[in-house]
Amino acid sequence: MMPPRLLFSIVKTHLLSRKKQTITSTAGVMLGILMYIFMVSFIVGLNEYFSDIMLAASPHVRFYTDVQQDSLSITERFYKDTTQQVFVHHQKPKSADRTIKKAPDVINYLKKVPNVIAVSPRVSTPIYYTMGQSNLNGMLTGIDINAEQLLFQINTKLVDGSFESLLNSENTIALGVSLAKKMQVSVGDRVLVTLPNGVVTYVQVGAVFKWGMTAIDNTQGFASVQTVQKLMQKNASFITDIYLKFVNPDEAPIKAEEWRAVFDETQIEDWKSTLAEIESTNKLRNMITVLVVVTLLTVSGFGIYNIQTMMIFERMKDIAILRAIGLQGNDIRLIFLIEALIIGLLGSILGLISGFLICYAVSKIPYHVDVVITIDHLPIQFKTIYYVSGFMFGIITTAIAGYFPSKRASKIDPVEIIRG
Amino acid sequence: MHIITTTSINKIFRKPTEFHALKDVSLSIDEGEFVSIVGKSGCGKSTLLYILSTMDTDFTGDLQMFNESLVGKSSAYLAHLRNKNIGFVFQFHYLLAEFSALENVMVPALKLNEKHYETIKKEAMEKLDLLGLADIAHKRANNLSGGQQQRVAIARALINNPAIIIGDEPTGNLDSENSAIVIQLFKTLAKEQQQTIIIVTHDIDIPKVTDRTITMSDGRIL
Repeated sequence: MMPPRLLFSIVKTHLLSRKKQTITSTAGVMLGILMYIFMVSFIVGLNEYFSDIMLAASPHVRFYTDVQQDSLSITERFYKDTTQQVFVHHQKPKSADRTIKKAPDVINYLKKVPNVIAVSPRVSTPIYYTMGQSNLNGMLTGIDINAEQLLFQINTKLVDGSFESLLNSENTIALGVSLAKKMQVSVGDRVLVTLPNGVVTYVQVGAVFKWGMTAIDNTQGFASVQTVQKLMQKNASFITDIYLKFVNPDEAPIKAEEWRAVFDETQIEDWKSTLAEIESTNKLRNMITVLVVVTLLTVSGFGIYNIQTMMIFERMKDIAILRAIGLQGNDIRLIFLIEALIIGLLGSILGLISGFLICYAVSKIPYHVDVVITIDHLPIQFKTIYYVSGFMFGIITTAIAGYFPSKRASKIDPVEIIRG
Repeated sequence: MHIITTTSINKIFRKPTEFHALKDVSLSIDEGEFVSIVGKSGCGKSTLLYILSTMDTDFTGDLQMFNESLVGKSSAYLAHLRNKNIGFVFQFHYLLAEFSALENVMVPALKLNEKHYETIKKEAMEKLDLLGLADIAHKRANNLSGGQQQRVAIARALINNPAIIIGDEPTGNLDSENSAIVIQLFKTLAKEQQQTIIIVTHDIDIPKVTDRTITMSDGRIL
């Protein structure tokens, strides 16, 4: 081993006397790390923002009743034991309400479960919002304002009016901001609605809200549970959905499993199954990110490899002299390996700094999107782990890219070069 | 006392064509002896010099230095031996182009790492001064003239006060005045510090002042 002082004076001289090459390889590493930081911060930021908004907008557990097809018709049951073949064409579902069976009892039961933030009964129906000659398709949902406030902080989504107005007077509804805009109505105006059961009536707009998800803001209307029950001509125990959230979301799938055994006539869905779809697209995006980043780092790694190999060819004479005056093969290898690592270190640090600056700048630039979700700037994640891993990637890539050329340098036979 | 002994050294180049460069070379050189090797181009002088310098290990026969055979020693061992005990001046002076003259001279001593940096620097300046180069000590090697570069290379060979100094035409690029200074310096070192000096030369005047002249022809010592 040569003394560090000599090692670093040689390394320093090499790096400084070929500035152009040093800068080119450093810039290569920098660009790779910069792209890594930006891609990961951006893609993961987008994924998490998307998941968060979906999770925030959906309950941890949802109870509902599906329209069910009986597996056996009455006729089939009657002739069960005979040898005759029975065919029933176009069997229709039992005429059953979409209500949850014994909804008030279920609600009371759920309210007593520990760690439940709130239980919100909902009555949901498709509806036509009539506007002049044309009808707009939509949904009208009766909600418990106080429970929904606890579950989804609906007051923060208010654009105009107040949700309390839904309680204060009957036939008052809250409209999604895009829906209200389409109908050119605002708080205080009256809207004609048509329900599937034939009821046609005027309702008053009491509030306008912006949920942040295009599908909801375009079609959704809210009213009190009582108002919707009345419009649907149903009694007070008619509830189509029950939403609830736990203090700890991880409790939801476990409890949901238990309840499926208890309430066997009701469909029970937990957020894990709701989000499974989002998770799978997230995975795909993450995979693409990893691929792009690996490609970038490989390319910059090859860049370093090439430049190092070239530098070693140019420094054959130097290597021969150093060997002749007593440096060992390992010393030569160390010189070129340290040079590669300094380039890697410098490039990585510059990449991290510039990556951070670009992420910061992009996160501040207004960027409006109104597809699926509504955002006004790009969601960028700032996490230490990206910077730590970016740094590690940079160092490892340059170490590998520098290792092989430096190994070759250590094997150079000085006599062949000096003899000429 | 013999400091270097070779016994039947044979060297054969395989590439580009097979060529028997050294044939049964056996010689002994004493401590403090100033030896010149002469002969026509291609007679094997330089080849012998590279073997004596321990850089070329691809030969048959035996090479002993300080009464110890160097055949089969590891390259790390030989590197340390060169660093400590052998100063080498190449035919084409070969300096590290991007380093200053002073830094070039310091490198072998820094590698040896037996003295403080400041001491090494002082001694390197002294060696440069000895060869009349004190004023160009901080110039980059590739900005020096051929003669200056060669003298810097000689200063570098002297820095660790090696027991053996080997030169391949060390005065080949020097004017007669500087050449005389260098030869006088070598003579003094051999006499006063018992350093062994072996140089290959084409200069017909040098063999006249050396202790012994070895003449080579067709890979043999005459």
